[in-house]
Amino acid sequence: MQNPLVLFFIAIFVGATVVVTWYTSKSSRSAADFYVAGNKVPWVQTGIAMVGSYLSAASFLGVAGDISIFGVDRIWLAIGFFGGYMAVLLLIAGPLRNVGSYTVADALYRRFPAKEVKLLIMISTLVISTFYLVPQMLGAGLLFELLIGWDFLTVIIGLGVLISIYIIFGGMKATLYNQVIQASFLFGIMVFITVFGMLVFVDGSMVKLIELVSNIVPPSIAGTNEAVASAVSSAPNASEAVLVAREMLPDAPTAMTIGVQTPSLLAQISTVVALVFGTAGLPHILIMFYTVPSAKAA
Amino acid sequence: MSDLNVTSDYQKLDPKVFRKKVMLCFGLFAIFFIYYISCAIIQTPGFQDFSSIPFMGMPLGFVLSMGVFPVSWGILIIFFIFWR
Repeated sequence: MQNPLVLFFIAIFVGATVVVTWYTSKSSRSAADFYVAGNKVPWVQTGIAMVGSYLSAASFLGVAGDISIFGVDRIWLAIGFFGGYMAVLLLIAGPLRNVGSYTVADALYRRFPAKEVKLLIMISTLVISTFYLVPQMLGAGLLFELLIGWDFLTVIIGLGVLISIYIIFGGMKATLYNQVIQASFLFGIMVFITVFGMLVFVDGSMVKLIELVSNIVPPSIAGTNEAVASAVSSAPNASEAVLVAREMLPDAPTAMTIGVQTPSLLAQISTVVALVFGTAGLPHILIMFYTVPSAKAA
Repeated sequence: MSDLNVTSDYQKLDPKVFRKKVMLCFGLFAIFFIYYISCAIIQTPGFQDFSSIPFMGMPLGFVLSMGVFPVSWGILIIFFIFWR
């Protein structure tokens, strides 16, 4: 059996999801229960569920991987997502919850009651959700294939069925509980990896960590040189690989060099503005504001 | 959508108070956004000399970027104090 620990965690998560769905499906009796968990969810629980959305595959794996390959410039992907939540809190949360609808489309339809507006919002919601969902599913499929060698298509279909089951039977309540479980697990793992990495690789010293990172040639640069790539891949461990790459490319930028991998000024502004207002417009984030009892709680 | 519990906190407010709250929210977001976009801009190649200045053992651009988090915490504290 390959990676029994991975299989153990998969079993735990699938089991927890099924139990949560079964538990919440019993208490979903009205449309409000299904769509917005009856507006009775404590704001703390909704907040933790939002953390679960923030710590998705894109940020937990994608951003971390991007920084490790391209260097510290890519930290703006993480900061950009965070900026979106500031926009949500300061500009959107209270007024949106106050409108009193199930979805953003309903809220805008109340303000602009034209069928064309509703159709446009529905199309944009589907487009945004599809573009958001596809990379997440793709990431999950590739991860399962990489870690335990499961068939990519089977994993995608299996996950799609599982997600559909818990949404159809459990509604927003099941979604929120599952997000809370996901957030708690990912946050715990994030803290563990950080503490473990700091203690094992740099003896808990921040100075040593910065020194180490300041010596790394980003793989996006080292990988373009065949001789370096070959030498790095044959290094016995990560520390040796870092030293070998630096010896072969002494003048190359480090992982801490600013402004190397960042695109032009216009592209940078475009990226961060899109991250702030794009995150603030995500339908699955906005609908969570309807789950709390009042605009003040939102 | 008839059984959705709507609490019209804002509708009960005096228009002047409501306007103040809106101004507070937009003002705080403007402060955050100006700091945020400024930090993003100094990460670009045109400002590389400035952002590469060592500060506390790290490039200044990186320190300022990480400063987005404490700045946002400060803004949130102000928001929770004055919004109520």
